[in-house]
Amino acid sequence: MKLLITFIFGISSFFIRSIVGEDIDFNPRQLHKEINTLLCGKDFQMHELQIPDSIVRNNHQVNGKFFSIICKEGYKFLAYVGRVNSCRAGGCSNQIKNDVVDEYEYFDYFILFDSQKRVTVVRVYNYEAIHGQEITVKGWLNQFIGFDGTKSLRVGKEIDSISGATMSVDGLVADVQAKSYLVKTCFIY
Amino acid sequence: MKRIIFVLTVFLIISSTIEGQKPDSTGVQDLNSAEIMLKNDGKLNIGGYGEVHYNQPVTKNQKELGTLDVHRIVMFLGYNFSKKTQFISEIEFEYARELWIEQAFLQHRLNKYINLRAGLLLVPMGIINEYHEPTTFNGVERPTIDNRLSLSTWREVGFGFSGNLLPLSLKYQLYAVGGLNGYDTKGIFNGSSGLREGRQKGSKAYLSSPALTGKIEFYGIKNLNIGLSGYLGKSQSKLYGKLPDDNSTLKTKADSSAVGIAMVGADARFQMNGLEIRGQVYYTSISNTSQYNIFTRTGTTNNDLGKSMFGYYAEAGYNIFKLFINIDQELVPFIRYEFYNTHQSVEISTIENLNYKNTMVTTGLTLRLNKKAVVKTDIQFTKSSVADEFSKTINAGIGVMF
Repeated sequence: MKLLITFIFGISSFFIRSIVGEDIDFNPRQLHKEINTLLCGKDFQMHELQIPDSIVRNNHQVNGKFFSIICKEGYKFLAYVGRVNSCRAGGCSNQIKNDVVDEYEYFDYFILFDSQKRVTVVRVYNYEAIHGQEITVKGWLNQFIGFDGTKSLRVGKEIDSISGATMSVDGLVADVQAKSYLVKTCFIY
Repeated sequence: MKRIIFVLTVFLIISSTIEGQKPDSTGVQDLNSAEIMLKNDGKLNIGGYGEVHYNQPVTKNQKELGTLDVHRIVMFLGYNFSKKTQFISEIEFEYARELWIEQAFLQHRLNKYINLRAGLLLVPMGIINEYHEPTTFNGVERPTIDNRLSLSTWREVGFGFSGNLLPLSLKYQLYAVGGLNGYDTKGIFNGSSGLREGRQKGSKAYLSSPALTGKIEFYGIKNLNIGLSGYLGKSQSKLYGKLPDDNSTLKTKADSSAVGIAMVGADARFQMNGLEIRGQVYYTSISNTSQYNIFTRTGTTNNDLGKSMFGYYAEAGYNIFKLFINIDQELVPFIRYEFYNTHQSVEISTIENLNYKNTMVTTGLTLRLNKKAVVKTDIQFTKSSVADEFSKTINAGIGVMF
């Protein structure tokens, strides 16, 4: 009987999970872990930053949020947590549009910028696309470390391409570039 | 049915190039196909890939005829019923005269770990059977072992699961599919072509016993993807049709017309700093070949299906344009070494045919004009273990994906 209940519960949870909403988790456990281990230790404050009006006016699509992180020791960092649309559900044949529509597969990720506005950490913490999971590998994401938004990143040149993950690679590289540029030009922290 | 699909496809293609009708004055919006696509609601997706080849055998002191071939044009049509439910299809024109359906399945996403799939599915053996767009591999032709051992493009009707276990960096697929046709009115398998002619491709495929196939991929190491795939099943035979349970004679006859198939494959892909390395290995074990070869004999000559088949390839290439910052294209010289033997082992009653033991070396250039358009050329050296020298074929072609 216990086995049956467990089975029914398990099946139910799958279906419940399949119908609940899928909003971006802006406070993922992995972000705290990276801040703890790499940047600040356990004592830090995290505040959301308002996206400057200039970005909204210029119609930059920002499918995420920016946060300032202040460590107890006084160090300051900036985090971006957001979503990248990958292939359109049902096929990768159409170009990525990084707006919020239901027809896209997506993944959620964060970037940590140091006080010099250089990328320190990039991690993908939620992957909801069928293909391209290879971009979640830390070793590959570490290629972005040190990027400051001043130069362009090209897949196959500065960033290694991944066979079978073209759309996800292109989407992430474009988003890291865009957000790094915004951090460099629009935020003071 | 094929004609209907063909007509529909042509209609869709043509209609996508003309301006759609505007809504009439009553405001009733009857949308034609073009409008549905252009409406940009993301429901209908269209795409495709194609490749055109030139193959020129070269023989010393002898003139050879070349071949010019629109090898395949594949149209992709997908429809999103909802965020979680899609229909995906690929309609293939081969050799500019044959029409096939390469994929046609319904997919429903239960959660991030499980997708349900049902319909005409690609059998997930090796690399090429799933990633066979011409922009994704070097060489004009696909690797030979993917033709002889992995049966690319291998697809059958079935159902199953696919998904991703992100914390473990694992992807998986597991399907129950229709099996290979081993006997309808005559034996289909033999030593020369192995199991290849047994693909039913979802075309009025018959089923006497299903097969299981699956693949696990590990991608947790930077720039490396490792896959392990398998296929397990019994070949199909029409002699099982309307077979009475109590007729042991007919059952024995039917059993002699089928073989058991266990195939395992391993593959790896590595890309870093312009370097591209990939390799595959396949091993296929076939049971009941002794009875099958006798049952499917021609006159007094037994069939010669092998007891096991084996093959592998290793390929390395380097994007030399990686060294030039201002060049966005990719130029990849590559070399591939292949070996396969469809008579890796045979029954005592079968004489090993050394012509089935082949070595191939392919070397050439892939010019990626961009990610979705390539120009390729290569030269392929092929030699069986009894031949004195390699035969040579020069190949050239273009490939696109969009």
